[in-house]
Amino acid sequence: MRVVIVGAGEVGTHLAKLLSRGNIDVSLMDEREDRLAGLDADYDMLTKVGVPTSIRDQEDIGVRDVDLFVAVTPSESENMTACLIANQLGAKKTLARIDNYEYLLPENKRFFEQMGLNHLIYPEVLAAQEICESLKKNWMRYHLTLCNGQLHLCVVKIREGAPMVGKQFMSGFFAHGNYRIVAIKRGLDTIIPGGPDSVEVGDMIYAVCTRENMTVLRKEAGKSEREINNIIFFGGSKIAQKAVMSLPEGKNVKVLEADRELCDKLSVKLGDAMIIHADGSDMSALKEEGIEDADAFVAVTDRSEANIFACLAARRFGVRKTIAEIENMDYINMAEQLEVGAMLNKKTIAASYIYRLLMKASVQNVQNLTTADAQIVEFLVTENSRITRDMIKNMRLPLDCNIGALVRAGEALLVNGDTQLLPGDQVVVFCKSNELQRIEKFFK
Amino acid sequence: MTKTFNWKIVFRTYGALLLIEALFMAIPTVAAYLYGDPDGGAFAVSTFVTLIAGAIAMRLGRNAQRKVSEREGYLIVALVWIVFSIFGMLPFYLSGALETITDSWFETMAGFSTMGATVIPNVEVMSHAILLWRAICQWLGGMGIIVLSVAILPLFGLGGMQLYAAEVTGVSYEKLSPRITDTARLLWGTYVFLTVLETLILKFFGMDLFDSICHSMATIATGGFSTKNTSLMCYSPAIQYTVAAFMLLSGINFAQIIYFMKGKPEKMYHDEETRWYVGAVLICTVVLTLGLFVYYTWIETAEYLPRLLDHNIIRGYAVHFEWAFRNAFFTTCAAITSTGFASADYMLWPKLIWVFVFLMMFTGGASGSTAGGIKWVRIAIFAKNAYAEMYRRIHPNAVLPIRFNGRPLSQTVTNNVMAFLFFYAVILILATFVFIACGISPSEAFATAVSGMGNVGESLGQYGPAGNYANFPLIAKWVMTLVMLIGRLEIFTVLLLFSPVLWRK
Repeated sequence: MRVVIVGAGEVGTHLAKLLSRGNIDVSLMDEREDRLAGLDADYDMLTKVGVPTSIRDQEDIGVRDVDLFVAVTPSESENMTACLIANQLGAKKTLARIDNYEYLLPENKRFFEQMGLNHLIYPEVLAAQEICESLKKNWMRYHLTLCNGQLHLCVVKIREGAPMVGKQFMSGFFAHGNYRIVAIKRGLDTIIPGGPDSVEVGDMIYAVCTRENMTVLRKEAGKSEREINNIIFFGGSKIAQKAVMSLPEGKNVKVLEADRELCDKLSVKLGDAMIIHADGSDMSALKEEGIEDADAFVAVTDRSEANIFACLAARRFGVRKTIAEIENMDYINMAEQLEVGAMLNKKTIAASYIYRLLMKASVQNVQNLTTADAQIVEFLVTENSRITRDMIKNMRLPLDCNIGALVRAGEALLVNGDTQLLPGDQVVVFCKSNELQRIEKFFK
Repeated sequence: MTKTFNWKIVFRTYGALLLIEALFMAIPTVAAYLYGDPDGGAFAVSTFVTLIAGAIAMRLGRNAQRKVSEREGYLIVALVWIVFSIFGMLPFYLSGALETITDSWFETMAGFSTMGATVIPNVEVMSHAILLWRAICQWLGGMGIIVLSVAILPLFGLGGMQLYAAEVTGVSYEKLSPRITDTARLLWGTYVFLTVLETLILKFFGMDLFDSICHSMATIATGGFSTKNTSLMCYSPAIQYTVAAFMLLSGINFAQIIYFMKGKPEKMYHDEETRWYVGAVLICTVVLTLGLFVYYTWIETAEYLPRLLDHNIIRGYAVHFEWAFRNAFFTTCAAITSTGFASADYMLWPKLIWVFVFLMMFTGGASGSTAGGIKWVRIAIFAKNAYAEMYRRIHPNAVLPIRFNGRPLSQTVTNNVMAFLFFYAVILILATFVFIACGISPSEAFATAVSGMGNVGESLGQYGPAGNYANFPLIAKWVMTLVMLIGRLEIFTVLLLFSPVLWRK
């Protein structure tokens, strides 16, 4: 499969790196040489200096018959023009990054399809959606719905006093029929737990369960459900705006923004929220605005460092739910250990959205996890695939993979070593990055 | 050495590469048995030893992390040529074809570095297996050992590009497809294709099959080992034209050849370096043709030239002109592409002409080709930079980016070229000093240094096309092999080995 990406910004570069690790031929084009420097030496991809909207440059990089053309330059109109050209040159599918919410509305989908724009992506909106989701299910760090909502992946941070702390997996404590812990992130390591392993304080657990059993998981993880009403946003960026707009009615929202002009604009745009002209990294300002009473603190300025520190400060003031936007990938692991709370990364969100579009037929869905260098993959078990030959414990699966659950005939079941998969099953697999291809072979 | 240095991957790479070498060594072993050569045993032993060494290295490097940083990359590339040569010299030494380790080492290094200078005074008495192994050595070295292994081994993963970049000639490398393995496969595919094509054409023009294979390998790798003492002097004009044409081809960037074969010839026509290179070959051929024609027609008639026929003066001139053109074209290609084949002994020509030939040995072919030398892209950038400097004297405020292929070059590239030329000159001077100290005459010392650095092979005087390096002094031989390696890997890769930058924590 071949993919051409134009625009070597954050999203484009991250996507290209992600794809080049898999089985996909990636070509990356950008106008500026310095953005491409070194990329083709460090990653298995082709880079080219060229103008995204130039017909000749597009032909040169081989847009004809390309499986997906991705335009993610900062400019919306440039992206759309590039996609139109690529479509006319013979690209099978196109995807453009946009800045206008109107274009995403379902009634306009056909209109853009006719023009030759198959997919539109608005990373800020995706990030905002993730914020809202995270505020709704606030006892979890992350939450993903799998297999059309029949299964859920819950990522929970384990604190002192939780019932499951110190319990070994073989101890019989874990009701394996209710939920299954597919991975544990401890410090910098991602562990695929076996019988002798146990859950410890500070672990981040990745558990798969059905909707009904989420309460069981919540109780055993020692968490309680709370309603979040007072939310403080640090930074009035686009993500903040979109998130505020899509929050449910009746929330008490404050947005702290240091730029006066932007504040004025925000006050018009976000009628319901209270806009405060103050710097969120100023502790006295935070106190004045009632940080101690806030239920959630969302730091989404464009400076990752400021977001991290603001969240640390908010935690000290007793805010239980904090979300930080961290665009610097290297900080994510460190921030994890600093107890920053939930983390958000525009690049990963956008890139994994595009990645999902590309996966093969046997793979139905892939979600990249921001905090662990891992993926959650949904496979559809086909006739004659290798995995159906024996029980899972006899399959010699790669060590860094764990089959969590399956949906058989509309019913969600958890998987253990004795389970035998049947054709037609929809399976949820947790696997560390780079292992995807090895596990994929079992489903062919 | 730091903790992070990935020794295992170095071992693993060497293991895999030695297995490849053993595979190629098996070819002359088979040939020895087919032709009934007496040194089949020596080849079988060498193959076996290489195989075992490869297996041990593979074992030492098992479970290696597939991560190659720049440091490991440079170490692997620079040392792999030495490791390859250590095992590659076994057949020469064990079979007794060459008596000393020095000679075996020199011959092997001259092969892998595609210099193609021989220490064998009489190659025609050598067995088929030895001749074939010499050809294979050059052929492997021509496109590059690492490039081959990237093409056929799934070994390197992400780090492959680092190694590839360290081995490919020129200022920058060109990726032909998103995957490094595909790029390497395309290059080697083209390489094999050209070799087979030349073999068939040579066979068609009447060279025997074995000689065709050996000469094709030497041509496409721009090596220069011949199976005949007199190189290509003893073959027909048709064969000489064929070899010259393929030398010319091998000096072009293989990426451009691939574009051409893929039906994008305009890319090749518009490539600035190809234009410089082909233009240089054309101009030098014309100058040399005129020089030879004028000199031997009107100034002095040589014994070995057909005399002007009185009764048909036009035909006589035509014969002369064809002779002059053929030898000019052949000699130009052989010198510029650093092949070092000979269609005539230019040492017998007037001094001005062979000095001209000698100057061509500096230039080399295009980057990304198998040719040695400075490479035309560097010469072009150097010349443009020098011109811009002149221009700036008159227009001090002029903004003058140095353009190549229509794009302005970054300062890094220009700096790289300047540094390269500086080191090139320094190494030439040092090598010349050593050779003179070993007792070689100054002009021959300088010429052999240039020839070694550019991987040409033939040089001047007794080391010219009719001579060989058998009586080259012992120390000079060892120094020469180092010069060859530095030249083949384009200086930085090898020099870094001696630099604390690579080893410092």
